[in-house]
Amino acid sequence: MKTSRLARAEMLWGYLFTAPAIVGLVLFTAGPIVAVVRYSFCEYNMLRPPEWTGFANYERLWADPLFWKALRNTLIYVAGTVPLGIALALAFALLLDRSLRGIKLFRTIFFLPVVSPVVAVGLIWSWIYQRDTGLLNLALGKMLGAAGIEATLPAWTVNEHTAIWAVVLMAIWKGLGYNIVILLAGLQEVPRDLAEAAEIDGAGPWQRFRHVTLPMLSPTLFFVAVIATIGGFQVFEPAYMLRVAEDYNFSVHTVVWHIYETAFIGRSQMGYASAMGVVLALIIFALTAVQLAVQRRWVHFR
Amino acid sequence: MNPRVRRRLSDAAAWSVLAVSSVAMAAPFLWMLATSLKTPEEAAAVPPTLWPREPQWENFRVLFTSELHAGRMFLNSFQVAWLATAGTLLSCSMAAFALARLRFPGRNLLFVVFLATLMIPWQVTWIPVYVLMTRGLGWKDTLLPLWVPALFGNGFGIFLLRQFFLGLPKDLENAAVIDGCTPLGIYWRIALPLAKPALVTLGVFTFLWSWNDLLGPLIYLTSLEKFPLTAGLTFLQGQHGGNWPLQMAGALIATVPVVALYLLAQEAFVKGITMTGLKG
Repeated sequence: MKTSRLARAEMLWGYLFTAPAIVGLVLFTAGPIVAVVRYSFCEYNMLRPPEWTGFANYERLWADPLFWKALRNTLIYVAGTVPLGIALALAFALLLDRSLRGIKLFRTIFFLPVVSPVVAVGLIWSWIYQRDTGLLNLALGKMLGAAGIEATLPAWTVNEHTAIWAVVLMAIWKGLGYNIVILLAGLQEVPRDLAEAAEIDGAGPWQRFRHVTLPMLSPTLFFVAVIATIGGFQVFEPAYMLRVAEDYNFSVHTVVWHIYETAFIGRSQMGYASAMGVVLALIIFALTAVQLAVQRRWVHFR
Repeated sequence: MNPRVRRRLSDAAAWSVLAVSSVAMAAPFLWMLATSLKTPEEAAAVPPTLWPREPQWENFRVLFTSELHAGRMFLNSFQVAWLATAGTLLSCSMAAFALARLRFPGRNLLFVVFLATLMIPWQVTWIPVYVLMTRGLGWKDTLLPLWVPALFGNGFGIFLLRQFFLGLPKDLENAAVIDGCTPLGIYWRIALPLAKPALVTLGVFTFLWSWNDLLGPLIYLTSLEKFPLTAGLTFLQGQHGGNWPLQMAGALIATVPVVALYLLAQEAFVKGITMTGLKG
């Protein structure tokens, strides 16, 4: 009798403790998922109730050149930041994995951009990318001058071909420390005796890296790649901060930015923006599924 | 070559590469600092001066006294960030405690559902949540949408803390129950104090996310006096686009608090990332 009363009390406390999170689940996740699918089939400007229009929003999306431009820029961003960002992070993680004098300071410096506000980082890099007075062109000009090359350097954020790459470079700098921390943790898991055994067997540094470290590190590399790809498709702030006035080419417009403009700037086209949100989510789900399938082929799990 | 000499040479090479790269990584911050203390004329000088000839503290005074009111923006940022942090810690720890230490029907299903929410990109819930906040609750141009949701938990926090609570020894509770402690007492007096390292980790990340968030303030706030620093900086970018020293001074003000937080709680940051892939 006593135990059942105790069990009943425990149950009650269990529901009481989880109640706020359950309310949050319904209000901020489950409910909105249902709503966004419904809105995506409606015309809705928040002034009048949603009006059912069938697949009109999705047809409009298919024919919207700005959406395709935004998707293209987003893809360049992902293709630029993911492989390059991870390769650089891996190189630095291998260097930072040694016990050297001042190694803690190095690790701290590499991580600083990760915690800094992207807004501040965006302002700093806009300044660095200025054509005539920016740090980048001043440094490049000096190096080219020393090599005897005469070149006109572009205004990186204004030029429609370089603008998105300027965003990529800034994002790699900002995200490098994050990837390094995860890869460093992965490197800790690689058994030292395995590399030592390979060394005794006469394997050089490259062979040890290629046949011992890399296979053992592959689950971590995979994890970093998934996180970076998903994050890359959701990019908004880095591109937004490097925007320039009167960019008629929409050279750094991303998918999330397009959703933002459609929903919150000018006419609130909530239905159309919802359709874009749904499509973006489906792209992200599909990519995750592909990556999980591919993983079986090359990731070495212990 | 003798292996020890080779080892030393390769360490020296690694150190040199790291030293040069660290300078390159830190250069944008140093450039921000140097520019923030220059006059606009000196900032535009070619070749540039490495350090301001005469530090212009005036730039910071302008930020705090002109219509920008950096002080007020700072307080707005701080208010939102600490409320979001306190709310997240409370709501997530309560749910995580129940999911890890109490038995009740539906517990495992509930945990799976919370885990599943981690897979949902925020762009999906973005628009309906905005409609709820503005049309439903009338919270347009208030700070409420930026922190009230934190009172209702999130998948990351619940997952992180549940793992920690699962690791606590079972006898703790048995002893406490015999002493007549209710689950509320066990949660508040035993579990929470023991979970301090995990709470610090979740806390610093929540503070950081909230402080650095731009999109929330951008869509919910319209009047300047409610802006936190992030939204304020985009305003500054629009108003004083050509005044780089002023913009760098603003960037510096927004960066210093989170960098200080990071330096204080470095271990907690690294642990949070390696445990769950929390993003900075």
